[in-house]
Amino acid sequence: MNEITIFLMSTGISSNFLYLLLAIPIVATIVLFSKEVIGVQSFNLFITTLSVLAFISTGLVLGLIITFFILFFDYIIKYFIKDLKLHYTAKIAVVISIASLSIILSLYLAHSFLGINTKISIYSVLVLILLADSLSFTKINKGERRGNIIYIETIILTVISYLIIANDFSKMILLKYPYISIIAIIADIYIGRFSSLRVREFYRFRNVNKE
Amino acid sequence: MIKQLKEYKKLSKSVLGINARNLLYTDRKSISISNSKIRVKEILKENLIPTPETISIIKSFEEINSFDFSSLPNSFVIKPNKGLGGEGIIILYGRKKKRNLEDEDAWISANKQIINLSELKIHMVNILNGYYSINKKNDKVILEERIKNPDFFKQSLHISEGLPDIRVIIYKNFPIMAELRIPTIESKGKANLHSGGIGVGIDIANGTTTNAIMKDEYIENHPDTEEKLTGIKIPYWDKILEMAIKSSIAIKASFTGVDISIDKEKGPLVMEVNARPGLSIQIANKDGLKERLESISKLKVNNIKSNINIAKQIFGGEIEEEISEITGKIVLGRNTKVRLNDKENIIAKVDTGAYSNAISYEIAGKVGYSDIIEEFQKANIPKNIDINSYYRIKEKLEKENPDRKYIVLKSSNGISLRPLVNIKLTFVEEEIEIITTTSIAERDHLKYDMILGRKDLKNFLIDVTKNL
Repeated sequence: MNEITIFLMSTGISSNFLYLLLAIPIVATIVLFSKEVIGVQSFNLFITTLSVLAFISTGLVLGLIITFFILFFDYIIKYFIKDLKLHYTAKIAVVISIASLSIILSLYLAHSFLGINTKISIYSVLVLILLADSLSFTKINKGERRGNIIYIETIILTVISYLIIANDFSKMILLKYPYISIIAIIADIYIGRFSSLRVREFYRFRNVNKE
Repeated sequence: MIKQLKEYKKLSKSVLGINARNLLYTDRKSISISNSKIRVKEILKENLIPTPETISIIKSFEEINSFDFSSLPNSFVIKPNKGLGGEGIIILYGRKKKRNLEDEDAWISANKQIINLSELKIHMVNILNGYYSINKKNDKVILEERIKNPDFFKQSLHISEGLPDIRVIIYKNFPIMAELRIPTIESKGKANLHSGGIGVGIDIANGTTTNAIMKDEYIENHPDTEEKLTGIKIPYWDKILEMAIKSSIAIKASFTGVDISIDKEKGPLVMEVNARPGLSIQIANKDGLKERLESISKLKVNNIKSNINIAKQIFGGEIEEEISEITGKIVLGRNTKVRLNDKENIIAKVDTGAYSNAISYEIAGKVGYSDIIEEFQKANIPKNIDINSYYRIKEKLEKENPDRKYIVLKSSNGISLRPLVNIKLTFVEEEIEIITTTSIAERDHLKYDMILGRKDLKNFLIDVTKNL
């Protein structure tokens, strides 16, 4: 193992905690690359990165069940309160309450039907509730349909990042070569200067120069 | 894969993507100005650029409670100051009649929806709370006069509700690209493309619409009214370009999208200025912005009129071809080259003041009518006699030789009797052949050996500036 890693662990930081902190720059770079170079529409980078960490805590299956129910109940509740003409703040209160109740339902279903361990940290639950808040805000600004699409793309991006980072091999590599996280920051700077077309834009504008 | 990479490289050179727009063509200062509609309106007013009148600005909850809603005109618009993409804008077309005195005030909105006073207040509270604001922060409510659609849009597009606008991209005080944005039922009266509005590319040179898109896909007709979207000539075109440039100068932005609507009485008004205009305008114009921006970046002319002219020349399409494409009609000038009976090429005068064609004796002789002329001259018809006498001579001559036809014509030179002949007429440059008739007249003292009258010009448009 790397000397720095050994030194840090000797101060009492657990290897798992250190791994999560080292993973954040990598996940941020993956999300950044997906957004700026490929053109994936997702919620802001912070929320997307945090969702990946939340998935690491919940596990893939439970994470997917929870995010599905958040989307599902958001749709149902919007249908019922649409005609009530509520204040924005009241709507958000309803939305995050429903989101947390839908997490209880998800945990119950995951435990009783799939036997999944449901001892997850409150922080990951909070992050997933934040997803519900972002979903509401995006729906207001970009419309119902695009809000749903962006939510789903966020989840897909989360799952892909999760698959890359949340395995023993990645964990081993990160603890062995913690410098990789520094390289990720350099990559961020390069991506930040990318001014060419995004892959998605390439398909969007394909017909512009054709007669 | 290699082919796609090549295509990507080529497209990257011409098309402006989000990254390039945000990195290379936006500055923070103009973003912060253009984000606030109130600030933009103030600056426009200072610079005497026409913009819709503000009725009132509401900044706090107390102001909503103390506001006298009965003082509002029957129709007006509510907007969030820092709204994004047209969200949060409500257009109220008129007051709903009260059945009882104690009924609440109510207005009629887009799609005949009724909005009563309490709903209106909730909407205002939501705006103040930052519900529609770009940065989720507290915002202000703008109450503004409603722009009334000019008859022009009602006639050309049959739009009754919603306000079309014209987006002009300005860079370094040059108009770069333009688009007509038309609301649909789906977009709920908004002209914004991502809410389902239609974008139609505009030829900078002449203000005529080219290709239409809805949700980035090409369409031919308006989905609600079935009206054709291309070939619409935007009124006040030069004024619109000029106002867009002036607005961009006023807010000191180098790259902007200026939105202009046309009011029935006031003419063009600047609605909004965007520091980060949408990019689908490139699809509607079938051309990339990046290439256009780069071609202008090195120019240093700073006179609004010359900038417009330069942009028209660089970015304008082939005007004539376009008109013929749109109307199916070919453009003729004041004169045009024709061939008669496949024998003689001459230049004919296009004369919409005359109904029928006429050729001179000289040319008639060259293209095979010399015997007719000889015969006609032998008849020795008196000049300046009255019209009935001419008709009698015409009948007499036609009886003597049934193969011949004559015509009595009133022209600026008085009344005359002329031989009428069938002729094969070829428009040389346009490659069109027709069989028609022409009279033979004395044209010795005139510049052209032939005039083309209205009767054969039905399928042409005449451009009076075009001259051989």
